[in-house]
Amino acid sequence: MTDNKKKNSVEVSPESFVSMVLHAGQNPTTVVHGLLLGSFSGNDKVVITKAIPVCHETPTKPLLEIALGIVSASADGKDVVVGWYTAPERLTDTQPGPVALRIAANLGSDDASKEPVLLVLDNAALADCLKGDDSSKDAVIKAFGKDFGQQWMDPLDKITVTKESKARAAAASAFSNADIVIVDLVNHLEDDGAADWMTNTALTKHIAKVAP
Amino acid sequence: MGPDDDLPTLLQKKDHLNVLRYIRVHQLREPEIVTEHGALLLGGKDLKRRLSDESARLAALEQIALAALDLQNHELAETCLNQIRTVVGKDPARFRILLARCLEAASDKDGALVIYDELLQSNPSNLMALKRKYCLAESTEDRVAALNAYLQQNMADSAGWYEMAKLRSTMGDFGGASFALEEVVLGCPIDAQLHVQLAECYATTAGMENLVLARKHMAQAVELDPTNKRALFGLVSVSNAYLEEVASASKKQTIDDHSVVVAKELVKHGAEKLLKQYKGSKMYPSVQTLLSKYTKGL
Repeated sequence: MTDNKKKNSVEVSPESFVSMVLHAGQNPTTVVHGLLLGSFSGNDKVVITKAIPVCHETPTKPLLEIALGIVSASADGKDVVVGWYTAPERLTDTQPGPVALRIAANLGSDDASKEPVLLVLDNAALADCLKGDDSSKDAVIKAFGKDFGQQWMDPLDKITVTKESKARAAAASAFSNADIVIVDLVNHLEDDGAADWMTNTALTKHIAKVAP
Repeated sequence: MGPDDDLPTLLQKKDHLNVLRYIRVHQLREPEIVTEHGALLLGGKDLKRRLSDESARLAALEQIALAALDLQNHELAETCLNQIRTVVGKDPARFRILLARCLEAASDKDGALVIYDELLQSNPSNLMALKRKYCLAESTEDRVAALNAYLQQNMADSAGWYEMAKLRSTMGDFGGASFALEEVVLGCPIDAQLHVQLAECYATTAGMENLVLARKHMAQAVELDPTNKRALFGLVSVSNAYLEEVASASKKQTIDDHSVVVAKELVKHGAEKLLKQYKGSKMYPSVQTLLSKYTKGL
């Protein structure tokens, strides 16, 4: 057993990237949180295929239970829960906060090859991305794995967004498109419209067009 | 402004003064409407036109200044400040608060803090200055200290307690959040959403007593708003959590059998109402699968 734990590499699909960025961008004055679905590949790779928006407030245990419960009940067997994402409330905040860390820890299981990943969005870089500004060198999304203190604060450097430049362009164009609205679980529970929070057809169509 | 006048009516009538009044009274955040109608009310972007009611004009200028800051239009905000200063001078506390807010928006935090500290020295219970100092605080410790200072001066402010609840939740302190939300519920006892939030905080803190309280508040929420999906799901979740806590309780702990019966009935009630609401929708199969896990064996 080596002293250096093998770090996971993380691959983010274009649709998950855009979904997370839009969720944060469309809720600019609050924190956002959501679930990550995908698969564990080999012993050291996490592939994220879907980001499911859960809330634009600090999540509580019942809310998390409902989110996980409905997502598991709708599972098609392909994708499993692979992690959690969050964007801090304030522009200059870069830390995920204790609640996101606790959730990431609780999503884990005893299987060390299936360690969930915590994605934290960088608000300043995100704002540039939504404006269509690609000059910033800062990554919009940072990934974290379990560290020796059992917290999810160990940075995972190998994080890639598939078709990144197209995904960024898709995020910027989706942001200015009033028909693409990210509905999270809280929106679904509190609004009478009962809009779908797990699949976003308008977003999927947009990604298929702009980042095929 | 008549009792039947709502915002769309006032906008249509081009009743600029009452548009501003309506937005102020209802505490809406509509900076574009305020700046547009404000300019129309006060004779264009120089805002020089006098009104018969001078205090109404000053209130409008203050409102337009704050809306301008929301839109990052510092030029318009400065025009408002100059117009107000011409009438009242630079000494009144209300003017100095507005000036400090303009400094905040222009990223001059230190300048703003100097003004707030000055105002607090002459009046330690200047609530607006205490509020703004809280907004300027950055680290969690500073935010907690500033909000405590505000609440000490204004213990009946439900909005302040709600802010404390949100801050505590962000810190992961759901026990503290419950304490704060209890104060809010005292002020607004028939707001179902508050009971839901309080119940969720109690359920997150966990423990037998907290889960009983969670169940009671969730049930109250459902009684106040029977179709609230968050309350219904919450009712199922927290009642189930109580039953799980009972099942794993030590034999020495006295469990109220009636309480257990109530919890079971509440799980069934919540599940039944939710299935009715989701019937015919795309989510029905997954909701049904999920709820059957809770109601199995009851």
